[in-house]
Amino acid sequence: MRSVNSRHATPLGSLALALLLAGCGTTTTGAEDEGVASDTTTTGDDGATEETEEGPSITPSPPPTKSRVGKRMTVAQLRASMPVIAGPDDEGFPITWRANSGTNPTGTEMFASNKLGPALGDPDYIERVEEAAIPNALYVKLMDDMARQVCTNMAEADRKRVDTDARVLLRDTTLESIEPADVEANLRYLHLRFFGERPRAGEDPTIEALENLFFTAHDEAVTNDDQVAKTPVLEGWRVVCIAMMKSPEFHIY
Amino acid sequence: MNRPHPPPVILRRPWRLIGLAAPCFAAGLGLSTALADHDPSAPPDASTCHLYDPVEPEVLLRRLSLDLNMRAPAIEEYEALAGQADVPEATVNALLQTEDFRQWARRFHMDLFWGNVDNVALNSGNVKLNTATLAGGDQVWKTASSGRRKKYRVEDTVCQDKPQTDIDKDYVLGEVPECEQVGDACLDGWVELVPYWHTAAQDTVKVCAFEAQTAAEGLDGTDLIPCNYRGANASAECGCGPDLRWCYTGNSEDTILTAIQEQLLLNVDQVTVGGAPYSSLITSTTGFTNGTLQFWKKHLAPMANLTKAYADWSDGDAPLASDPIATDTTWVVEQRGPQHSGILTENAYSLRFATNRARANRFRIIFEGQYFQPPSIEDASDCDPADPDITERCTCRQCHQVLEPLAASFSQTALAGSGLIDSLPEYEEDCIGSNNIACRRFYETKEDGAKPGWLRRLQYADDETPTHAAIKAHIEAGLPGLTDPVIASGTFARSMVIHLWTHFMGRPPILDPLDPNVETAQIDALSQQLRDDNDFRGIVRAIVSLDEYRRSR
Repeated sequence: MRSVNSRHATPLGSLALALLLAGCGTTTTGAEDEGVASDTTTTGDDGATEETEEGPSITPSPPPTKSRVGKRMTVAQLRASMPVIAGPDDEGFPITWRANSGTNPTGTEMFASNKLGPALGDPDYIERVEEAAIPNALYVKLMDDMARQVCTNMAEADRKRVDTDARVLLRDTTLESIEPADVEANLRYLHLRFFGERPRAGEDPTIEALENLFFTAHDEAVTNDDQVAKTPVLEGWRVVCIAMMKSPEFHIY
Repeated sequence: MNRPHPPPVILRRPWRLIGLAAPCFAAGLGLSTALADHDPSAPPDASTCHLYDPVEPEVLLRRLSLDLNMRAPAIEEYEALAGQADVPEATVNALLQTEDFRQWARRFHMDLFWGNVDNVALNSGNVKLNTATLAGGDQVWKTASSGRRKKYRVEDTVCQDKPQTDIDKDYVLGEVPECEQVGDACLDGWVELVPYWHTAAQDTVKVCAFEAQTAAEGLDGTDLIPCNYRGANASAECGCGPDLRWCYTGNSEDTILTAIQEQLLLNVDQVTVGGAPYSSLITSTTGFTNGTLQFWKKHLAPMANLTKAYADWSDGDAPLASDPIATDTTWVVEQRGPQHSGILTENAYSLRFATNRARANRFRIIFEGQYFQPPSIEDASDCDPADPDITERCTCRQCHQVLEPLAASFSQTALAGSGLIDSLPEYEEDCIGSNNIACRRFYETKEDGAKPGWLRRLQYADDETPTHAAIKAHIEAGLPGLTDPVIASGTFARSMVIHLWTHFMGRPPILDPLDPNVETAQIDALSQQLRDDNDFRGIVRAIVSLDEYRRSR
């Protein structure tokens, strides 16, 4: 089966490395999105403003750095956070990234020291004495694996849950709804749950993008029967979940 | 179905900083640093640099929760902030009181102390038991040492699959067993007993009768030697003692090493969440022990070959229980002697940093914020490149004139071990030229060495050079001579503040006085607070309350 999520989630997730490294002045794309970049200047990697035909040249000093800088979650933080974010499965077992998760809801956590914890950089204080919490290619790849497994299990848990109030992934919508208001409400809820941020009231580009992702995944499932989850709506939410769990906002705090 | 028209491409919300680029440059130029009242529902204001904005309360909560409790907040915690302009102080205080905070504090200190000793060898095969499969399929415990098996049975083999009483009906558990001649070997049978790693309620295990011997002394040739001390493997009349207490197993060693790490972390708990002054981390004579560690110190550590970790009990250690129970994992406070100094003399620190130089260097990095760097130019004037005294040797001296006196402060603890050696005789004439392992471990045995016959730690403790005099002074002062000035001067507080700042801010503080963003004043204030209050939680709270921590970047 062709994977819907790979087509839709990757554009968001693949921005991770670049965005993780982004700093003030290092990227103009986003500034243009918000309409603050001038047509008359371009910003280089060193933060300098280059001379253009329309204006004088100015070479500003780098922006102040007297703030905390964003950090990538450590393996220990991921290990402790996943059950909080993903919630329990329908039988009450905490959902996290596990070995053989499909058949064993209490299988060994993949973050454990005898699984992928060391590969992700978790220090053992013998061979690795510090955790280089950087978004390298291996980290991005493994987080992709994690997101797919965890989100699939979250979607399945919500489908099986009898108590609809206990749903985690679809808390502010229903298993059947594709009403835009329901979708937006649930996306706002998920945004808070996953990122700890409340999207702006009214139009918000993140919500719009995720909304589009939801409907695209849903439509793919309807049209081409291309889905991992049991229903098109669940597939839409599963794909949204994967995109959010792979995004830099999730991993950097 | 009323569905919105999808945008032509998938947009994502711009990364927070990206949208700030242009006005932040203005801020960098000093043209505009206006702070905007941050209202997440308001449209973005492109004319304002949000670099200095306080983050939204939900973002701050996530930051605080991950940093202090190592986990993301639950949705309910976020939703409790609805309508609030900031994370309530009570919430921050609550995060500082959780079990997760204790675990975070442990992790933070493990990052400093590297307190994992899983790779330390506490014993050799001479005093180790492992299992073999008997002819009938049962497992039997036998010595892991080929030499010791030969000493017992002439050949390198194990006991027969029969009870020892089948060989000798009058056999009494622990006695020298009679054996049956089988080929060239003389084979014993097995006995059943409850080993020290089982509780009384657990099952017995099968052990070869030679290994189960309990005699207090045995013959090594014509010499009578104790069976409960290293070297006992030289006598066929020495076994593993009552309940096998004089022999390690693989599992018992792992259990001890795990307890050693926990012992270190309990010291951390005491000063981070237990209410003890934070600086007592490196000064306290109070420690923690349990049955496992007491059993190790009393019965097992003295058996280890001197090529392995030296951890013998000493008068400077806390008294041991008369009959410690290895399976008793209950931790209790112990009062150690004045030679001890917080975590610096705990088993984990001493074993993890096996030499005095390593111990001193790590101490200097953690608590003084100082790093040695190799010299960039050749050092060849007025020195001997082969001088046995490393404080005088070309090039080496540039670091070692500083390091050796500091290392001397740790020299009361054995190298590659955690046992105190301050009660050993300072001079042993018999060790000069000796090949005795105890001599080679602790004394200068070379006749042409520096001060032959003297304890190695005293080799350069004299008044010949200022460095030697400093070594001598540090040995006499012990660890308090190292830790007290570091604490009194504020260096300890400042170093720990910088570690914490770097951890929470994701970057070290800016201490370059020429940098317009220099943060020396903040570090000074925090250091003074830690110095005055000696309160770990308090200094953590202070750092996460700083504007620098709560800004948008």
